Amino acid sequence: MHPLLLPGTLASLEVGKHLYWHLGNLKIHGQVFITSWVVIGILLVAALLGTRNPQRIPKGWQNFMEYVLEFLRQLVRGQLGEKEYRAWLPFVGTLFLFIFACNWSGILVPWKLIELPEGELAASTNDINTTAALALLTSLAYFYAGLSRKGLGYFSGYLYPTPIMLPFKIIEDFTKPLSLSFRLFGNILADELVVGVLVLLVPLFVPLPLMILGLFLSAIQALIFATLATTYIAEALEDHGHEEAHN
Amino acid sequence: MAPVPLLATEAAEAGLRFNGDLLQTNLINIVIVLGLLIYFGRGFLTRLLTDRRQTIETTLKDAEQRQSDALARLQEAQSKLARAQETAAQIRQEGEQAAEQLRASLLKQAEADLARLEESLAASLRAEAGRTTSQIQQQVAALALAQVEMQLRHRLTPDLQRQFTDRALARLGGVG
Repeated sequence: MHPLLLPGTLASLEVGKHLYWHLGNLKIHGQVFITSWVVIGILLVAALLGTRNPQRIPKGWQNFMEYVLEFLRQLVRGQLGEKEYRAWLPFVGTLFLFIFACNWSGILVPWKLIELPEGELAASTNDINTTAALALLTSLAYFYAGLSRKGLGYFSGYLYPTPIMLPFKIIEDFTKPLSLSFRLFGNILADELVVGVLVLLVPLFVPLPLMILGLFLSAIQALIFATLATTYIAEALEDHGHEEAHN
Repeated sequence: MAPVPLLATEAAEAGLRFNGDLLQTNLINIVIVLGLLIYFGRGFLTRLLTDRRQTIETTLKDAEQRQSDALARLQEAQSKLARAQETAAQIRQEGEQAAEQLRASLLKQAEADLARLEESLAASLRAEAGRTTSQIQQQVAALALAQVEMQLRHRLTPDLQRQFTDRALARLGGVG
């Protein structure tokens, strides 16, 4: 059942094979859920440990979690500004933490110790469904931000600065989630594939540099995703109409 | 490795299995990466977190120091205020007393002035009345004299004058 990429080698590499679960008429990728749940569990435990017994002068884990929160707050505040950032910090922060933890879990957790009947456990962000879901959530978020701020007047912003921009702006609404999801998915999958192939060829030490590179890359990917999501939200919140009225 | 069925899946051989192959599972590399991460990350993270903690600590201490300073200043100011209020009350009381005294003395003086004025008024009235009376008397006397003189000039003929003189002489002679 395991397709041998290179016959006679030690390991096999599986792409496009999934552990299917059935939920009504839906076929869902079980391995993605398992790793996501583990990551969610890790994040929840980390958050609970950080806030269980809060001290006035933070130490240990609380200190670390506060540092993480501060980092995320800076990230969001830098783009949304002091007035808006609080409402969007939970969303963007969760995006970042989930993606970051998923990406790193793909490198640092020896998922392959557990063998599934089909497919294999890996970072859940190497499945396009996960990243597409996250990207669509981002789309929803920025539409919600724009519509809740300006009502239907949000769409008049599509004519800004010139009406010629209208088709591009409409296309942009589709390309934004597309590029978000494919960027993350592609980077993580590529990294895992490269490491996987190298592990097949030379199991020891040679994949190390790529794994370390993967740590950097996947951290940066999480940062990019969160930053872009914030940028989109900030764009949707921007007041074009008022600027025009004032000028 | 015996299959350990944990989760029902659609695969024929349902369940999860443990794969103990060190090379196939990349376990050695993962352990090395984890080790490197912990080795290098630990120092960095520890420094970062210690710095953060210290910053918070000093900030808190500063804030507490400032708070206690401010409290001390507040207390000082409050005691100053209390003293000032006391002084103000005292000054006020003194002022009221002085005002009362001044009022009383002014009243007394005014009464005295009034009495003096009335008296001088009465005196001047009396003087004026006396002066007027004497003036009138003088005038009446002058008028009477003038009339007498005029009558005398009209009626006093040399004969009559002689008669008078004789009569007076006779009276003088009678006495003598």
